[in-house]
Amino acid sequence: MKSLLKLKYLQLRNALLRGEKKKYLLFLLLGLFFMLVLGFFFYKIFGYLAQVQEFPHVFKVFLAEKLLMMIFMTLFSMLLLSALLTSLDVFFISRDLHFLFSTPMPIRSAFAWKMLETGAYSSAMVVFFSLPIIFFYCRYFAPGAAQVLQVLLAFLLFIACGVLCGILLGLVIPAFFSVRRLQPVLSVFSIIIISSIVVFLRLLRPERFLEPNEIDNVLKYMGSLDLKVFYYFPFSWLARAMSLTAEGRGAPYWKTIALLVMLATALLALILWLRKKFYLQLFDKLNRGGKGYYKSRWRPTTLRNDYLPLWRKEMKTFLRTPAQWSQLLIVGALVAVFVINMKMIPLPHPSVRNFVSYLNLIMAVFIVSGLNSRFTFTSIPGEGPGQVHILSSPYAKVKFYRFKLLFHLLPLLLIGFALYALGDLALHFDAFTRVIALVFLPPAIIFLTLLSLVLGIETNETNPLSPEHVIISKQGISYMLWSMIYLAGGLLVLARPVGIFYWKRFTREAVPYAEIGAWFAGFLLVNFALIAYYYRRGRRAWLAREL
Amino acid sequence: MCYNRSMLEVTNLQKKFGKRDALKGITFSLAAGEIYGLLGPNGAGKTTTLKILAGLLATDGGSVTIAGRPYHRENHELKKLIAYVPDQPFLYYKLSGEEHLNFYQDLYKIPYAKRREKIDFFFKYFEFEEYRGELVENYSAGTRQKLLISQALAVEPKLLLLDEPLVSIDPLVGRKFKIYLKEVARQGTAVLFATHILTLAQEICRRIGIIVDGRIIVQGELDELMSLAGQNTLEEFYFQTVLRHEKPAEA
Repeated sequence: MKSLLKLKYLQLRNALLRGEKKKYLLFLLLGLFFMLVLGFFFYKIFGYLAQVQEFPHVFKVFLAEKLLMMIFMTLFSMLLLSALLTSLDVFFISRDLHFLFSTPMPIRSAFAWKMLETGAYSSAMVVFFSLPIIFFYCRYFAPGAAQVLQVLLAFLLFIACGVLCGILLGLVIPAFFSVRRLQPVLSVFSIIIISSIVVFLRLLRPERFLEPNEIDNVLKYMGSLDLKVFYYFPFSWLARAMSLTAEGRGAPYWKTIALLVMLATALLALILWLRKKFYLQLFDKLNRGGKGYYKSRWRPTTLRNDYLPLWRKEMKTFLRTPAQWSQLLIVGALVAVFVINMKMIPLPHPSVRNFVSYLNLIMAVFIVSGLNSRFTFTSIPGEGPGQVHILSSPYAKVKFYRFKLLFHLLPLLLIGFALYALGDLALHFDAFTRVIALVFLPPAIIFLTLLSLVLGIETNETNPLSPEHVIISKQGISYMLWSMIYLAGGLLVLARPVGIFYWKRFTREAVPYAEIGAWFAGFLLVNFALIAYYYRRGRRAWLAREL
Repeated sequence: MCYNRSMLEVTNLQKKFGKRDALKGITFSLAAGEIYGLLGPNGAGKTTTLKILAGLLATDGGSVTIAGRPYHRENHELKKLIAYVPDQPFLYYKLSGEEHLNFYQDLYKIPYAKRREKIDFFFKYFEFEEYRGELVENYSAGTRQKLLISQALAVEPKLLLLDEPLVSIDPLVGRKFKIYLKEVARQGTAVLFATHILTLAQEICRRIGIIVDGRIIVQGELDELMSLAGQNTLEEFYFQTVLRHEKPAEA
């Protein structure tokens, strides 16, 4: 075990010494940024709950507990599914298993190491999301040092329960199904669950918490959430333990902790028993693998397009990789939330609609940028070593570059305009917003798609372990930062002409169309220059690529 | 067999990886219908040479001509004459074997009418017909290698670049491969292949070159070289030559 820890340490040290410091620093900055955004959100919510004069303290704590339960229910599902998927990978598929099992290291030590790995990989994101929530909850409801420790203890046990539960399922499931076949199916399943939770939570309209006039509705809403079945789950126990800490009720708090400890111990005992009885048998079973037969549909075609073979290859690969296409389901959920937001958004005055339209554009490009990060950026590194055949064949390299760009750009333009159109259908924006959409969306989407493709080429990665490994590369994090900076810049540049237009309309003065036109032309020119620069930079990098 | 027409001319080829000189001026030529074996220790520069010829690496010096015309990695017309089998089974795992062959043929713009028969032939000849509809990810290492060899042979190249082609291949199919290789050479295809299997090189190569530390230290007709050195097997000749180069005093 000690030697494995040392190995991890050496891997990290070598990565840092090899010049990956910047990557980790960027990753840290991005993480801190998201933590700040989350922190601000919960600072406002808990701050509001704690300071509302009309509510007695007990009721505030009760409301906070219900809110926490909703949040931890989501996080628990994420943790459970993540631990399940990670454990299937770590315990059965991971590349180092054959090496570990061929050494004199006892199986129980290798197994314990794999449990730690699963715990660290699967809980990192949940811990990351939870810290600002816990911090601001403690600030307003449990500020004492002892209280903070109590909350942290309950949280740690909650994480342990989720991880152990996932590992247990991960050890049982391979007894019935092939892991290699199951893992993609489970990935899709988990993404459907998470997407459903996102949509479900949005449909519950949590913004009603912040509306004192709607308190009756909120109480009904609480009632709808107060399902008896929830009381059997650790997320409910954690919310309860935090609430009891806030109320200063020691005895019931420790009873709740005892529940968490008992569950974790029982899960651990079951896992260790399964390890002893079945783990190696299941590992052997996995290595027998399964088979499927694909009918070849590479039929003759009368189309004489040079991009056609690449398009066919790309579509087949994409559709046969559930881990790829299933992520589009999350996008579907985000779009659903987007549309619901549009429908439910409270508008104090009809003129605000146009301001919403302006933000809608930014939101649409933000979603496109997220898709770029996941799909366009990883596209060329994700080709893997198979690109040997394209580069060694007579197929023009520059065509491959153009194909990759078009393959991602066209659907993304469609998605961008569709998102704008959905907002327009819901709120009936005015004609000027359509002009802004035409000015803003195409250059922004083209630029961001190109930027992600070019930075993807510059990773020089030709055999990545997974798309996620590429996304967290130095270039991946740079893309996220630059795309955010671009969006903020675009928002600021367009604020001026949009502001002038609506202000003049409001004051019933003549609209200075020449000035607005100049701003738009300037925006387009800058984008044209950026696009031309990045297109050439990407082309150069691609043509110079060596395998 | 007459080998008078030059298919490949490599002159003073150089390549650097950072500060390290991987190739320090390699020169050799290959006639149509000739099988040339590149031999040498690990890291000597065999794969680098093949990768440059396949267009995967750029050169840092020297020149290459193919069929009498200057070659560079963006010369798509000349690349139509070349097929390359890499030293590792790099494939698109989510395509079936048949789709992979079709995809490769599309890259070479081989008409559909011509390819059907070839594809059927190679699945049968290399004995992996039952895998033609199976995703490559389910193939064994040997089957992946058969697919790589099939796709290179199916485009009927004039210059075939093979990097350790028989890795993971069973002896029976290996034998068929050698027979087929001799046949395509007889029909005029020049074959350049890098290998560590000296018996294979002795069996099928007319000429060999031994690369050590980025330079070809010996090259020529295999029989002539061995008789000049007074050796009976390529293995003895190889060891004597490489050792003499690496440790001149001991040799």
